[in-house]
Amino acid sequence: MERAAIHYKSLISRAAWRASISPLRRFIYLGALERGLTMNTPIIDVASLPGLETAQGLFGSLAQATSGYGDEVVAIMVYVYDVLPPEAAI
Amino acid sequence: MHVHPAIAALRGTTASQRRAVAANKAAMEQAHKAWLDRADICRVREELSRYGSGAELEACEALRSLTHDHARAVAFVEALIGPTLGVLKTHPLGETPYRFKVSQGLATVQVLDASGATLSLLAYEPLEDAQAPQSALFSDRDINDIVVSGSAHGVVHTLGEAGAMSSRPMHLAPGDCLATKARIGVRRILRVERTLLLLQLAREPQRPRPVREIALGTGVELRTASGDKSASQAVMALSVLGALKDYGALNVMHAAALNRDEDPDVRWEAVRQTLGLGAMRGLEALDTLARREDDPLSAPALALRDQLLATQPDLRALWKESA
Repeated sequence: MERAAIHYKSLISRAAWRASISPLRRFIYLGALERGLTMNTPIIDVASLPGLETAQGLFGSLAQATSGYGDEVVAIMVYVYDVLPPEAAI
Repeated sequence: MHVHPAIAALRGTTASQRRAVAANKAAMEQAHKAWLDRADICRVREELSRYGSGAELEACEALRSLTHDHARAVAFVEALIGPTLGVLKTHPLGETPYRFKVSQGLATVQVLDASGATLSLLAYEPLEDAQAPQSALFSDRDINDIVVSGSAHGVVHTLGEAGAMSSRPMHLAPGDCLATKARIGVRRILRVERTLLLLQLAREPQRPRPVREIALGTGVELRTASGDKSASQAVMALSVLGALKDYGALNVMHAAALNRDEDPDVRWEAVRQTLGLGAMRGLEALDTLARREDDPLSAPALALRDQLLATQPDLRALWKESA
């Protein structure tokens, strides 16, 4: 399994797809899937499940812990500008 | 509120906005492309890619001299900044085509990027309330810095074989070079006298090992954090998919949990989210992991499987039924 499959991009496209489908289709497709999976199955609260003993902090989580110049961890955010005025996009 | 005249002139007219954006972009791209196509820059790009893929710096002559020869470093920076500033003079609303980050006292511009190696410009400004750090972060990055201009005081920390840390104060002036080895070395800028401009060559492996925070006085490891950005993104992606109740992602999560090549934190988050979305699928994954004796997740999976079966009678009944 490629990590790409659970990468941000696929997450975002999945979330966008879920938000875009109509309530009727959501009921027919996802509803059936969800009902089929959760019927008679106990629900486990994820928050109650333990983490790994060897768990590490997320990437960049130590950067703010130290004072001074934050140059140890490189996390450069890419800003995507929407340069087309809304009218032009329609 | 002050509005720049160039922006005020564009208000309300979408056609001129579009033209202005296109003109800014074209002018900046043209200057950038002319710089990228220079013969000396082409060579640096090619060597950067080789260096990123694991070549020794000694085998990359142009790159080595860029980070060890002050005159070359200055010429490189001038050739980069000159044309960019030229475009900004005629197109003040133009956007520079480089990745950048500005934080307290430090501005970073990533100039080139190839195969995990980057060439960046770092500008350190004097900070009034800079406090002496109590710990140092050791990350999985090889770094070669050369001081282009300015001066500052700093310190280099090195981890010895037995894990003991040695510290050496330093004063940086134009032309000084610093080579910092991944995982065992870190250099810190403590007090800037005059704005310090560094040209920095850095290299990270494809899957960087964790970042360690080590206390300066005692040498004790305080904390670790993932050095692998894509792994942390995957952990967050999994928890968001779980919170969205995205049942369609169950197969991907289940496979990620069992994938030995995946980062352990990613796998365990996949286990947790699979359990949250479909208790039986999650239990299946736990059972598979628990039976793999050579898998590092075997022990925690066994413990969690037994805990869930012991504390949730409904689940135990279903599990027995399916067995």
